[in-house]
Amino acid sequence: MANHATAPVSPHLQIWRWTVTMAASIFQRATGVAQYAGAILLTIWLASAAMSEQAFNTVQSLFASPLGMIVLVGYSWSICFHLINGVRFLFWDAGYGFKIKTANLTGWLAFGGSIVLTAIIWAIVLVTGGGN
Amino acid sequence: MAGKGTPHFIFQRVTALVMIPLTIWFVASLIAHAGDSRTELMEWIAHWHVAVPLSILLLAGFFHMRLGIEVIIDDYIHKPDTRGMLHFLNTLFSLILGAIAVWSVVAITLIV
Repeated sequence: MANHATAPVSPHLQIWRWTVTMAASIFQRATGVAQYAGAILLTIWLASAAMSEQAFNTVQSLFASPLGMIVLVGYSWSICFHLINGVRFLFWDAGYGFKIKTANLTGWLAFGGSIVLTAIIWAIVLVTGGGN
Repeated sequence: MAGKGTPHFIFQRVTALVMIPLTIWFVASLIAHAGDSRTELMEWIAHWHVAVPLSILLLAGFFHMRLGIEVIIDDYIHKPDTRGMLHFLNTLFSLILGAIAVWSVVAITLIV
């Protein structure tokens, strides 16, 4: 910690050509940070259910508002992406998936898969009764 | 963080592994309970086979979250005082939020 000021640092983001592997790494962080905010929402939701009918209904109607729905869709996508790409990183930790072709393919899969999964989640919610 | 890298790395991965099945289960359950009233939701959470895994998910999640933000603070904040303060706030925030979330699950099981 004491030597941090003199430790070498790598060039920052703007110097590199964008690649899908780089984007996936950056989005892993960004979605992680987003889930800091998401954790607040989840906690408020659970606490409101524990507190009272009125508190719960207020939170539910906020979540069901247009802005609330946008936030929830974003939150669910960030969970899907962080989970799928997180599994990808766990494979990396175990020493698999490092070939450039594989890493690129799985990077695209993390983006595509998380978007498709989010769409499926909300399609089911809308069809089966998220209405109330 | 100096010297604490290995346990940090391991805890980050262990909490991640724990959360994979629990997150899939919880998100799938939330889809099924999307239209629930408060009573229906509470009755569902109050089952031990829901309250226990949900509490584990929350504990692992808040721990994982604290570890993740810790790395980001280390990467981007170079002034030792500021960094120390942010580490403290990160830990405090995760603890408070985690306590409220887990307490809520416990409270729900006691109320129902």
